Amino acid sequence: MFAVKAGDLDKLGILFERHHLKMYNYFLKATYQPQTSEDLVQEVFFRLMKFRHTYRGDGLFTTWLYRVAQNVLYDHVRKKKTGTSIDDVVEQMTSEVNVQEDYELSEDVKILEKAFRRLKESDRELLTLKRYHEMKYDEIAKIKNLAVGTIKSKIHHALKNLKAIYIELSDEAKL
Amino acid sequence: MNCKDLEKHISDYISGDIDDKILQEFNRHLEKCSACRKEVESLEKLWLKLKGLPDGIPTPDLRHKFYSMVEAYRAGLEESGKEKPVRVLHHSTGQFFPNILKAAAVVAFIVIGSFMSFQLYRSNVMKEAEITQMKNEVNSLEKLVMISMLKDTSPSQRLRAVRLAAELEDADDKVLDALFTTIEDDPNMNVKLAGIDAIYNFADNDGVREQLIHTLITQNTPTIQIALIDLLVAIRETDARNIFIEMMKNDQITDEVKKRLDLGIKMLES
Repeated sequence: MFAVKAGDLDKLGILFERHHLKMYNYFLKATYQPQTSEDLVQEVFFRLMKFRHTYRGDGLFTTWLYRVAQNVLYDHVRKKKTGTSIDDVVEQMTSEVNVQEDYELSEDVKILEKAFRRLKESDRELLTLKRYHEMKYDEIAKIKNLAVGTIKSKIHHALKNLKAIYIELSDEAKL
Repeated sequence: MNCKDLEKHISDYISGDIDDKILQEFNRHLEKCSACRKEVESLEKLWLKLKGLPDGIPTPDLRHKFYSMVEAYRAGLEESGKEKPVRVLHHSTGQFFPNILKAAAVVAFIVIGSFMSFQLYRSNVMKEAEITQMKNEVNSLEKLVMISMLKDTSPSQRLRAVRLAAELEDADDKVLDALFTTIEDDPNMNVKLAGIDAIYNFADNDGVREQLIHTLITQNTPTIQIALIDLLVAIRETDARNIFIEMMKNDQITDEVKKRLDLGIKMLES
């Protein structure tokens, strides 16, 4: 990232290749909208390029990256909530693909996937950062600007919420 | 450790981050408390399953868009001439720079860094000038990226470009040309309409007003015609009145559009 900061934009390609898939899934697991997720990844790298001068390198690069990603996601959610017409149109136009369609999933995983989707976006985000991105609690705490203990507690509650929905859906499937 | 204490450490336990000493106490409690054991087991199972959720795979478009964006940005930097982007050797060969060059780079960095610090310290006025210059640079780069995005194949990407255009503080001829091309030629109705909304911000430019009238004459889609009529009325473009009157006589103009034209004529006369 220091090379990018110094003006070497070729290195941004290396960062893109290394992180775009995880970044895409971070957004996908938060929004469940493939086209929107691609746009948000693009926005992250645009901001990285535009604000590269502000990178200080006093922590892990991924912490900084996900902080940018988090802001991009929050901006997206905020715009959706205020109901700007362009975003509405984007939502209508993008053909939302169900990720499951590409996979031969067991019934159990399908139920879990469904339960995960029903979670609050903030719960999904925390579980994604911890479980999918395998981040340490202190790194997540820095991204979220919260105490480590708070993050642990929130992840615990997110998992409990997921369990409740998962059990409910499993019971429904048995009927 | 009691049930309440145990709950505080569940996250650490299932993610494998638990401290060894606490783990011993944790396990001791689990041995004697079946309720906690059941809870931990169920959460642990779920935690394991969670890892198995499928990943999504982005379309090749994402990579294409990324590299187009970088190229547009690089072109902007080179054009502005304020910052020369470093073009380096391929990543693998780039590792073999002689140490003397690295040392020279470090010295140069320190000297330039010290000089810049001194300059910033010396004059706050200078600092403000630099910020203004930087803002101008960012503004000009945004324009270039926006123009590049308007040529994108994805309608959502083009919509984002139009939104970016609407946020620009000012628009030069290149931006205005790109927006009018979008309004006139974009295959997607929503992108066209967003383009008309964006052009509203630059309507104090005489050329824009003239071009809007020209665009209205050349468009034959009622929705676009109505949006353009509304815009011309909103910016009080009195020169459009005669064009509206002419269009009223045209048999190919739909009744719906004629109603809007009629209303527009009255509003421009008032």
